[in-house]
Parts: sequence; C-alpha cells; structure tokens
Amino acid sequence: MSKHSVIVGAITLVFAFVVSVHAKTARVGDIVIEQAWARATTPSAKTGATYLVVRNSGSEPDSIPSLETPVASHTVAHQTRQEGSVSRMSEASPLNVPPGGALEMKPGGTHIMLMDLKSGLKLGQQFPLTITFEKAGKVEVPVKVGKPGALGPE
Amino acid sequence: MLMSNLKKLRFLLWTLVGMVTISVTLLTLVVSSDEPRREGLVEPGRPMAEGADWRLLDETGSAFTPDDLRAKLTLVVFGFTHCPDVCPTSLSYVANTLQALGPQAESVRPLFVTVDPKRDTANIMAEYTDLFDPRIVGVTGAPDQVAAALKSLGVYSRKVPQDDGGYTMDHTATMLLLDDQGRPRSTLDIHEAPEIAAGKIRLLIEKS
Repeated sequence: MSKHSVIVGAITLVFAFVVSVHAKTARVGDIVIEQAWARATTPSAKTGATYLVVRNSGSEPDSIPSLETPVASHTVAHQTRQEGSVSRMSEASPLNVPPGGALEMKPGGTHIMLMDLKSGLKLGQQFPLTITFEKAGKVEVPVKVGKPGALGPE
Repeated sequence: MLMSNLKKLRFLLWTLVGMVTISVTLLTLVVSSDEPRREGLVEPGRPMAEGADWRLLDETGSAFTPDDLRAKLTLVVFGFTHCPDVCPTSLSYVANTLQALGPQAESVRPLFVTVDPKRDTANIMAEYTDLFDPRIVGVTGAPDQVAAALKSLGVYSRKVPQDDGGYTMDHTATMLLLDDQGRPRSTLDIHEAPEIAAGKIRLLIEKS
C-alpha cells in the first residue's frame, strides 16, 4: 500500500466519522429523517420552531398526522407565507411526503411549531420529537438546539 | 454537396456562438446596472409618523415617541416574540448587519417594534431582542398606543386565532431603514447578504 493511499484512506475514515456524527438520521420503513434542529429561545418563551428533512424512498406517498415532544404542550406543523410585505403563518397539517421525494423544512417556510414550551430551549440542548407517519408508523428523532437566529443545522 | 453542408453547419454554429455572446453581454449589462439600484436609497419623502402623537415604551421602560425616529438613523423591524420562524430570521439578519457594519453600527439605532403589545411587555422585549444582539432595542406600549404607532408607520397587523385557543399575528415583515429625519430611505431584504444591508446603511451615513 502506498503512502498516498493510506492518507486518502485516513481522510475518508475521518470524513465518514464526521458525517455520521453530524447527520443524526432516523429511519422508519421507507422514511429517513435527517437534520432535525431547533432554535434557542429566551428562558420564558412559550413558542419555538423545529426544522427537519424527511425523505421518502418508497413508491407510496406518506403523511404526518401528528407530532409530539415532551418539551411542549402542543406541536403543530406550520407554514409561513409571504404575501407582498405581509408575513402570515397558518397550520399545515397533515404534512405530505411525496414518494421518491422529500419534505424540506426551513426558516420562512414549513416548520414545526412548539407551543406552550415548558421552559425555554437552550443552545446545545437536545430533545426528542416523536413523528407519527400515517403509513410508516412512529419514529423518535433527536432535535439539536442551535443559535436563536440559526438558519440551518449547525 | 458535402462542402456546402459543412459550410451551412459552420454558418449555423457561428450564428449560435454570436447569439450566445450577445445574450451573455446583455445579461451582464442588466445584472450590473441592477446592482447600484439594489444597494441604493430612494429619494427622501415625508417623515414617517409626521404629526402623530403616540407614546410607546422602549425595553427599559422609557418613553418612545415620534421624535425618537428623528434623532438618529433607524433600522426598524416589526414582529412579536411569540413568532418563532420569521422574527428570529429577521432579527438575526439585523444582528449580522450590525456585525458587518463594525464600529459604524453606532450610527444606527436598530428597533424591534411589537405588533402584539398584550403579550410583549418591556421586559419580554428586552429579553427577546438580547438573544440576537444587545444593541437591538425592543419597543412596546399600551395596545391603543401601539395601534396608533403602527397605523402612522403604515404597518399592517392582524390577530389570527388558533385551534389551541391561542393566537398568532399576521404582520408587515418589511425591515425599514429611516434617515435621521425619520424618512424611509431603503428596505432590507433577508435574501441579500448582510454586507449588502451594511452597504445601504453606510451610504445613508455618508449622506447624513
């Protein structure tokens, strides 16, 4: 084995390790959930937002009729819409995940609204989120809390 | 016969090259002529809240009146603290813009004015704005005073009841840049890099 290939192998291993630690994915049936993250809030905040990506490798559409987390009393899918200069938020349940496609949540679009937070969300904290899929069933994903103004997973 | 076909092909290819060149040139011209306008300022119109007499409270509990819009350059964002998606995005954009401005950030006063005064007390506004940057000042007040202020600033807001008994607010999400006489001179757009926003503010600092 040449020196070169050893270096390449080592880099690949380190990279694979970093990727596997970084992308906390969960799987249920044909569904993969990746990059679940939330924004830190003030200690007294009553609302928070969580974002994630759901991929459906199956041939059937699936949907998310319910979401649950111990950190909030109600957990609902919401959609932010920008109409001219006005920003509006409305409920977006049930969320649909197209076959062979993905449901990508991000700031300014679809998000999971945590209502009646029991206490604020702290930077670096992690909490579980249970997602129920109509067909694939239930799965629990860890949600990592990032900066208050984070625009993506860190 | 073969020769003439080749000639035709050559002619076609060169025509294609010519068309692509022209389109790229035109596109570059359009993009570059668009650039200064994006970073630019509009001509000053009437001062905002001119003749209005509302009285709000800043996050320290001090009075905030229309005169306070004429003391310094103002960057104002409207929202509410129960808003977990759009408002943190806007406020973190303001924080990044202040960062990009460096020491010149002292020349602008960033405000976060609530459209939900019932829930957003001065303390809650202080705590919330400090999450993003301690320089951002929260502004609230008595509901009738906030309503008067929003009206005079041309801001739309509407309470939207939710299934769980709570409510959310539809609101104008524009980030406004006012000069030191309270006249709107530009808006910030979260889709632009914070450096572009900082450039707009610098331009206004130079003109003031």
